[in-house]
Amino acid sequence: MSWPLSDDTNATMLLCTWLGGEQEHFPLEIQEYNRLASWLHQNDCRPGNLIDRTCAETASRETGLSYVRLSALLDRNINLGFYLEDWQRKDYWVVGRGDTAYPKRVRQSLRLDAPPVLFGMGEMKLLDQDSTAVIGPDQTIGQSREQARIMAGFCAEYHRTTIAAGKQIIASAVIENIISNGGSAVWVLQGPVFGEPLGKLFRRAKAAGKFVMLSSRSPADTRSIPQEPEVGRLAMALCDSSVYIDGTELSGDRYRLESAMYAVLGHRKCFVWCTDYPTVVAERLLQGGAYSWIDLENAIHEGLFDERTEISEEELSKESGTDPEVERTHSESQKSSDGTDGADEKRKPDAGKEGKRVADKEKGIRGETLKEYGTQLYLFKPIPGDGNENKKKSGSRSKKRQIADETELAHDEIPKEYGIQSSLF
Amino acid sequence: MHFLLHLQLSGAAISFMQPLKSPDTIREVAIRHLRDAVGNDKAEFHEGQWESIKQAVSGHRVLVVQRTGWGKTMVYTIATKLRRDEGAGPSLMISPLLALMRNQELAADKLGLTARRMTSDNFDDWSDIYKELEFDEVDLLMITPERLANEEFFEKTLPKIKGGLGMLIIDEAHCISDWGHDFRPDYQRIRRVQESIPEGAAIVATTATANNRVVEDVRMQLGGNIQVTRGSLIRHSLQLYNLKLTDPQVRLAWIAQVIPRLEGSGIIYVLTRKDAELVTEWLKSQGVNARAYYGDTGEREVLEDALLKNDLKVLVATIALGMGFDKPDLKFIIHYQRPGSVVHYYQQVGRAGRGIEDAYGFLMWGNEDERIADYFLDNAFPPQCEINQVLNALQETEGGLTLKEIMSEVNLKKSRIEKVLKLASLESPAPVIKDRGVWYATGDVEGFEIPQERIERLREIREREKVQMREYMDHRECLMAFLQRALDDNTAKDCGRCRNCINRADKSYQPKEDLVRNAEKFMRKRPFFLYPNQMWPISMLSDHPIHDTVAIKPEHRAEWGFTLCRDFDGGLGDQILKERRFEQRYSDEVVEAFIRKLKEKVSKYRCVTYVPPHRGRRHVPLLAEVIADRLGLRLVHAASRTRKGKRQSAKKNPIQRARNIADAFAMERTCEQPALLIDDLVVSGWTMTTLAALLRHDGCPAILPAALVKRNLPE
Repeated sequence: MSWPLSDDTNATMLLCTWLGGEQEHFPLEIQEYNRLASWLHQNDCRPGNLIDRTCAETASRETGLSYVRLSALLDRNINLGFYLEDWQRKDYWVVGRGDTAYPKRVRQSLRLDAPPVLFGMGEMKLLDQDSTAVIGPDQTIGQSREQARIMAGFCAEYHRTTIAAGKQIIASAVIENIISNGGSAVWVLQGPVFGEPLGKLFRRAKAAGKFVMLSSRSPADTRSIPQEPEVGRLAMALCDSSVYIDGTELSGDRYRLESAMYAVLGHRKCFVWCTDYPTVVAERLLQGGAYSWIDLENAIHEGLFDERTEISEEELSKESGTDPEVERTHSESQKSSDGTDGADEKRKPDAGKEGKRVADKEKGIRGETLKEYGTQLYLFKPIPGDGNENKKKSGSRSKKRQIADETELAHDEIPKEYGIQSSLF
Repeated sequence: MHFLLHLQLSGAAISFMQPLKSPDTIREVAIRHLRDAVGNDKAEFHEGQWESIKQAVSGHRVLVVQRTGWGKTMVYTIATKLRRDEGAGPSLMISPLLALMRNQELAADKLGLTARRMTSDNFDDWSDIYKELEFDEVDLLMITPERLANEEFFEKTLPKIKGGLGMLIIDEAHCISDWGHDFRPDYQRIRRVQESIPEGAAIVATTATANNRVVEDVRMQLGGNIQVTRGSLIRHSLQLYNLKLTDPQVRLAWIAQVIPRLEGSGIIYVLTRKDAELVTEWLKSQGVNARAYYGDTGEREVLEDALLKNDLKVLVATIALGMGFDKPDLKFIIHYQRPGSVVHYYQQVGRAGRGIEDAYGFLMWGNEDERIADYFLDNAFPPQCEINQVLNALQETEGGLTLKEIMSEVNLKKSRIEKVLKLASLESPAPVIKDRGVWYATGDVEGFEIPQERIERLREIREREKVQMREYMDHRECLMAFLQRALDDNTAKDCGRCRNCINRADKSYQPKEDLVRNAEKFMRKRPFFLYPNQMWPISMLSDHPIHDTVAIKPEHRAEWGFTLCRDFDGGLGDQILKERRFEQRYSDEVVEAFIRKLKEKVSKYRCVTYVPPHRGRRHVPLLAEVIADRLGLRLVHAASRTRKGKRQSAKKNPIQRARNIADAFAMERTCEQPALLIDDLVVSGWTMTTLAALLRHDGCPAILPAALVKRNLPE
């Protein structure tokens, strides 16, 4: 991404970002934003078009979102200008879901749950590298912290980017150790914590391109929120494998790390380190299919450093409780924007039953291939004679899908103004 | 076509505008506001005023380049009123001019708008303003550009603005451009802010002083679709005079002679605080009702009010009395020294005669002007080595450092460190940031350079301005036309009123000789106090009984001392510095002057001691010896130097100096009676403070510091 931001990202931020002090008209929730994005997509519009209030008025009418609210959010444009300047000066970056720079892994994994805007600082490239998340709850014993440091040491030794989540003891232990050992680290944080100045260690790592911080809440968003599930989801979206360091029965899980990990069991190699007395949380993960951590050699053998497999839309929709049909439309068009389908194929495990099963399943459900336009994968098209599931689905395709099919353009007909932007924002 | 439709078609993005008002109706409302504001039922808009208001109301960007007194304020106050009436958020005005803000509050009041300013001089009001913002009761919020660098603005002010700001007003918009005559680092932020503001936001930028290049630059910065309103810069009421009176005593005599003859009240502009005090005291001694006004006067508002009400004859001010000060009947502006550029001069002299038919502008210049101008120019931008020192100190620390901690780490003047931090923190991305009073490196410090090309360009501009100012002072044709042409005003023609147009001879401006002599005497006799330091730097805290508390204990403090004169005062100060450098001892003239002054003060002191010199220098012991002899006091060789150490002059800031001198002395003998402590040159005062503390700790009941010269470079 580059400054100044695109009109689309600006509009998305105006609609979805808490800048602090919002009292009357709250920024859109992700489901609300998705509704709006879907409407824009159907009507050949982009978020930037909402700046023109005629478009916003129509969108409001047809999506059921209050015009007064949309308008009030969009009226925060001067305030946003001040914040953007401040963030730019502090060397943060901001990417909208419609930006090509938006982390591919987040887009691929979370799809419609992917935050409309991400804020970060440091080397963005780390977000798309093979990585292992080392996570744990807030209450830990000394042994857990030591184990977290050991894990971070392994990752550094194997040149594996390490992901930490939340601001708690485990995360700090992991991050400090990986950086001290010359490794690369991703730290998923939230809002105001994200905005704190960096210590010497982190400054050096950032300057060396070995550190990145990420948040789905803006640094100006100072709300105190008891639960931050976005942190866990983002950490799992970014990683290829993960290690859960068990805590105590008194542990809280503000960042919903355990449930985020549980949700990706089967798609990430997940390990649980615990003492002889595992907590209920650790037990649940182990029963769900996570490997018990024995030692590094065993973990590598079990696939600690293997590449991940993508979660399927159906599973995702089951987890998130969204309409799979709507979601599929979005996710495909979203997927189509990142230009990494080939890379994605490569990432699928070509050995091992589980990997094959997931790859087949994904292929079957998707049932379509993406039409490539330069670096942009824009629209989707059903493959004749594809799997049964696809045929079943095709009968009940949503109106959106029909519009999308009808508006499918030949390679050289795609309007240039779309540039390399995504078709979903 | 109704108004909303009209605006939408023209790309405007206003959500709040009611669809019932036509442009004509809006204009009628606007003109009613204008008439209310000026108190004239027949007032009409100036050419360009309504067009600018209309643009702003429609959510567009507009740049207004008009002379002072044209009515730029009306553009944004009426636009604010109209937008607020339709439900938009409050306007935010960014202005470097505190005086303007105070005037705006009054102007806004006439329109029924609530204007509030959040500046360094009204902290006590801030909590009330936050509440008012929260309840959407503020229509126009005014801040200085420096406020943007404060976390408070982002954490408290912006979040309180319900529903977002309705309009952004950028005063003195020429500062956005590097080509402008003012370099205000914080305007770089405003430039980026407006770049970041999405389309559809109303932005009004105003300036009275922008040439073509600056207008074009600002226009580009604010966006290509901006509407520019520009008018003639001539000030018909002003009579301009240039007076070549180089000696300070001659200038002092001249103002004392002329001011009583001038009607009404006025302003004397000086370059430094020191000169503000000098001129004020002189005028007071001559029976003129004058007060000094500078950055930290402390009662700026009171002084402005006094001048507004004609309770003062003259306010002697540095540029801290900003351009926004609006007194329509201000009769005269006198420049005791020349300003930095003709554009600055145009701005400053333009304060006079805004609402009257005749007003005067007198420009004088002196021998010291060039030195002061060079000082400001040389110190405008820190060299790369200083940037590296400060940034490295921050990079090497674990967390961050306060300014005092940086001063302790880095041997640079406080003002230089502040300059480095300011310039670096305004880069984007910035290598340093400030958070709750602590400075942090952000990561990419190594290899950071403030773009030298840009600095060079700014230097060149300043050099050209100096040359242009000299040309103006030597100009033999119309002075007003010269100023207009300097600002690319193509309507410039002879004013028929300035000194050159009416062809007055120099002789009529020479002051009386006896008045000149009085001024000279006055300058020589002025006392210069030495204020004892009150606090040790935190980094000096130790178990030593002198340094075991941060506040210097009362029983260790010196009394308020004095110096004979200041450096570079065009008289004795210059002579002393020369003798200190080139002679073995001070001349009789200097010693006699010092003794005369000491005689007035020393009745309760019984002995004399002195600051022990570095090896090989005998000036101070000899001086102390003569003083003791002439005043009949006992000379005590109380202290000696314990180590070579670095000279105090090698240490650039007070913290470094305090530390450098902390263990430099050993007590040889006790002064058991109240003593004079003699030195020749005082810079930060830490040598005197430290030695006084040691002497008093050693049993001396009282210490009076006295020195020949106080070094006092312009700030």
